[in-house]
Amino acid sequence: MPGREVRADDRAAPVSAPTAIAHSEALDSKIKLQNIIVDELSNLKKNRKVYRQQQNSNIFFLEDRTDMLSESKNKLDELRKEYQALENSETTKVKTQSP
Amino acid sequence: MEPPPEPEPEPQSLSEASAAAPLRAPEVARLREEQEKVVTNCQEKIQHWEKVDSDYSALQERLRTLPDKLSYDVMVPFGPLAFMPGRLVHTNEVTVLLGDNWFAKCSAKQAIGLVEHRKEHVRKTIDDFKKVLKNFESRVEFTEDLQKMSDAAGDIVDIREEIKSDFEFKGKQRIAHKPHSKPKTSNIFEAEFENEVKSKDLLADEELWARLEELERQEELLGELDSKPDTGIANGEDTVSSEEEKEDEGTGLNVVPPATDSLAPGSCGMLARNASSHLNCSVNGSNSYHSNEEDEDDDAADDVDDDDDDNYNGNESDHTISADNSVPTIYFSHTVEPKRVRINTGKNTTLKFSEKKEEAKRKRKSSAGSHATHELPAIRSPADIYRVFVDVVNGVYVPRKSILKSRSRENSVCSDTSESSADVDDRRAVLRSLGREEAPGTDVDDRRAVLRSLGREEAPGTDVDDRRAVLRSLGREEAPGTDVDDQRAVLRSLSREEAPGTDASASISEEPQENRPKKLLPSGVSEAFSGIVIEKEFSSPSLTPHSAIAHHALPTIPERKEVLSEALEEPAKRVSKFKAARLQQRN
Repeated sequence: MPGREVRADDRAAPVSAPTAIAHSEALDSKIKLQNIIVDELSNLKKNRKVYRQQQNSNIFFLEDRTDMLSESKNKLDELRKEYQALENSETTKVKTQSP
Repeated sequence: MEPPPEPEPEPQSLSEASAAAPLRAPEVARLREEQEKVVTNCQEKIQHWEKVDSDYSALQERLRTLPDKLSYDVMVPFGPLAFMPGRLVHTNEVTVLLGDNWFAKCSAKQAIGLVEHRKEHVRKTIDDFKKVLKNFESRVEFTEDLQKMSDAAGDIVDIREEIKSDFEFKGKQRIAHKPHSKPKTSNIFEAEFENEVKSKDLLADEELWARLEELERQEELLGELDSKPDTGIANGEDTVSSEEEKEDEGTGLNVVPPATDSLAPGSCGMLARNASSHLNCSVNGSNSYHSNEEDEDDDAADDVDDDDDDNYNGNESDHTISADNSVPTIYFSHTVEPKRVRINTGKNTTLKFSEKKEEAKRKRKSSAGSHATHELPAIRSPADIYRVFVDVVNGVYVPRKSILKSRSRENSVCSDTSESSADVDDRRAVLRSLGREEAPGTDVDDRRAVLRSLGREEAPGTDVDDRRAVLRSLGREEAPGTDVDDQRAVLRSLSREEAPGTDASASISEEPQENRPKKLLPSGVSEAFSGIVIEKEFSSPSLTPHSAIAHHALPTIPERKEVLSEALEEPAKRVSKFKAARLQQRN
């Protein structure tokens, strides 16, 4: 196969649940997803084409692999930060409540 | 795209139902469930629409950059599962779906504008859903609080009104006034009234005449109340006055029975507000009161219970459901006075009297001697008319829809007019009511002239009083819907009988005499005939002029002559001392 194509799905982020727990769970799943994306992208051979799916449709646009990799990594980092922030706020809440 | 209204009415109706019924835990819980369902539903919808919004945003981005390249390498889908590599060309030509399978070919920028427009719509939808969500979240909160309250309090006030289905309210929109019901006078006032009776003889003012009439009426009604319990009138007076705003003009013609009548339910309402425990007693008292009233029947017994009024007011004011009260159930009851009065005013109608009324009348006559209780209501306003014309349906006072219409066919047992005093009184009531119906203004002048002529010629003295009493009683008893015509007929026949030999000249000569006594009438008569009709014995010679006057005002109905003649005989003794005094003064 001349060029294997990896398609990056641009997933719509679900609405954050009102409760913090649901929010953290959603974040958690997103983070896992991004991890997979990053791993897959980093594991591609150089000659592979990466396509990005247009939202809500079946059409895929060709994208640059390196750009996609960097983009995915950035997204992952952001998600991780958010998760961390949420975790910190929860722990502070727990700490204030516990004593 | 619109927020669904369906979930809203459902929990709304549930909430209303729960508010109306006593607070019960399962229903409150169910309400809460339903409200939470709505909340969840709203959240889902919001989620969906936000996804749509993000999709549109992504599309906008894509469209913005699309014309940058001449062609794009894409994976073209064919079928739901297969793709093949291809090229996207004519990057600036976009075919936009407008809806209903209509498409528009436009540039990328135009497409961006279209997408923006759609996004606007989506945003509005999201906002609506968010509002609904917020609203229902607050409702859920409230229901939770309610639940907690009901669990904690345990003693929830339940205000109930036991509606007896056997009553038929015809005049639902209107409330039956109590006849002569300008109450707010207590029994104490009655006592004063009796004392004042004798002292009024000396004064000759118009006000005094009015006062005399009031007192006469009260005296009549006093007879009704003889056996009635005094149930804390002082308390109820204020409530009664406030509740009977529509009835009372503040003329001060408070008749005692209506006061006490309204008292009990008034106290009902008032006590309900105060959440006192003896409310039920007052209700019972009112019930007993009404049983007494049945015995006490009277011509003026069109004393409508203004319980309805009071209870309506009470109901309106006592609808609060307070979970913190420890008040037991508050019961309202619409008291009933099952009197039936029928007046025979036509060919097929009969004059019916309840036997109790007759007894009461006889009792009164015997006790008062010649001072018959006159049930002459002073009509000082249009509302007073409706106070007079109150029908009794199944023991309940209902306002008559039209005081000009006859209801004699309803509930009537068409029989020949008996020659009992009952009939006499009834006919008297007819006459009186006829006199009163003149107030509304149909042929007012004619009838007024007629009646005034009848009333003025009090030359004979005691006869006059008797006749007046007759007419008055007739007028008052006519409650259940006699026609104007019928009453007119009665009146005419009455006048006819009184004057077998009409003398036109005599009648004319009487006219100026009429005018003079007119001024002696109390001021309240100005707008309406206050019922000071002075009946004439058909046997007396002085009646001839009246009949003449009556004649050209009203045609007679010959068939009623014999009936009315009997009626006239009876009231000869029923003149109150006030009437006598007044007549003497007039003479």
